[in-house]
Amino acid sequence: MKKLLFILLCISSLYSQSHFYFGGSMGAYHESFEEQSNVVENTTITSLKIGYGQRKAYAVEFSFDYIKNKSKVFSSSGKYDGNRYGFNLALVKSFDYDLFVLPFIKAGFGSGFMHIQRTTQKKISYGSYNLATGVFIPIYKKFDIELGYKYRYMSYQPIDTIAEKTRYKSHINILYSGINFRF
Amino acid sequence: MHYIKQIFLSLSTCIIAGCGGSNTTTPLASDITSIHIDTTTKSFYPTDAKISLHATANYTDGTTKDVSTYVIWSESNSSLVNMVANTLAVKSNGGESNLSIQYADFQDTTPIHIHKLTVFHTIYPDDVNTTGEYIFKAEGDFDNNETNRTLITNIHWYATNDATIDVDEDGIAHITLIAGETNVTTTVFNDNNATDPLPPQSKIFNIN
Repeated sequence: MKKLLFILLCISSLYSQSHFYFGGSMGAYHESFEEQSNVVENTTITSLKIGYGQRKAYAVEFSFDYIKNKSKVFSSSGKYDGNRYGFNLALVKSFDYDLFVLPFIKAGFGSGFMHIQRTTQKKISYGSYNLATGVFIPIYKKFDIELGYKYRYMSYQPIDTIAEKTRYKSHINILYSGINFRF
Repeated sequence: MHYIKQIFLSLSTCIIAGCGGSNTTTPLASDITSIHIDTTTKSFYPTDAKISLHATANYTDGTTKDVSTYVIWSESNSSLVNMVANTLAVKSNGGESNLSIQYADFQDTTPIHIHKLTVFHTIYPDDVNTTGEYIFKAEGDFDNNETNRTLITNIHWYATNDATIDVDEDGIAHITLIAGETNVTTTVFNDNNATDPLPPQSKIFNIN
């Protein structure tokens, strides 16, 4: 699945009239776990990204996430989970309906890690499948505001309790706003 | 640039306010606090069957789990005992050793004592006068005054005259004798380095 997405991303990057752009965003981050729905993480996510493509067509985006964890989902009692760092790759398709906004959809995958405080593990890595939708609001030719919603399906490295190695999965919903500068 | 930053922060603040909620403070999986060897007894007979030992992990939520097959077992005196996974096999007659378990940074050690077999006697079948299968067994006395304990391991049976030997899990030897003279020999602890070896025992059976 990830290889297919990567091939699609490579094909899309061959589009003509494409340009590099970079941007940043902040958003509200809500994570709930499959195994225990009452286990949640509410915090903020900050992302930096670089992309290549057209604002009104296709683009490829690489993004870096920073999430400041505020919960104790993985760490031992009394200790907070460490900050989370992730990388994502996404294919962006935007639509030009002659409106003042450009709706878009994104699909991709990512991976990352976070520091935890357990007796047998100090770090846990994860992988994710990502979907997003939203709008670009062009301010002028080289600058736009981005408002969107992201969904991520996360799969974490197993947690080791000697007798069991449990792999946790979660659903993440992100509402975010950001800005993009285009060259 | 200042206005852009204001718009950006305002939107983010609104989003965050609309998605509030408390965060989890109880971990998904409880953490390990310690592991230990479960030892109801720390003394073993060197001629008993192999013994399965158990280890337990304690967790932060107060629960425990059997981790016998997940931890690494080791012995301090490998000429006396041998640990294969969580199974203890005694190799020599009498002595002291330590057993240890380890997992990541956790470990536990416990001393064990192996009793010494001081004398053994083979119990031969009566009325061996026809060909067929006969039952042989051996019993021993130990340094802790335990007497007539059946020897299951570290005992070896030999027979001449092409007699077949089948030793079951209880240490009982089923020996099939055929016509002629058969010498049945029993030895314990085939250890050439033993400081105080016990002499073998033999008996000859004649079947016409």
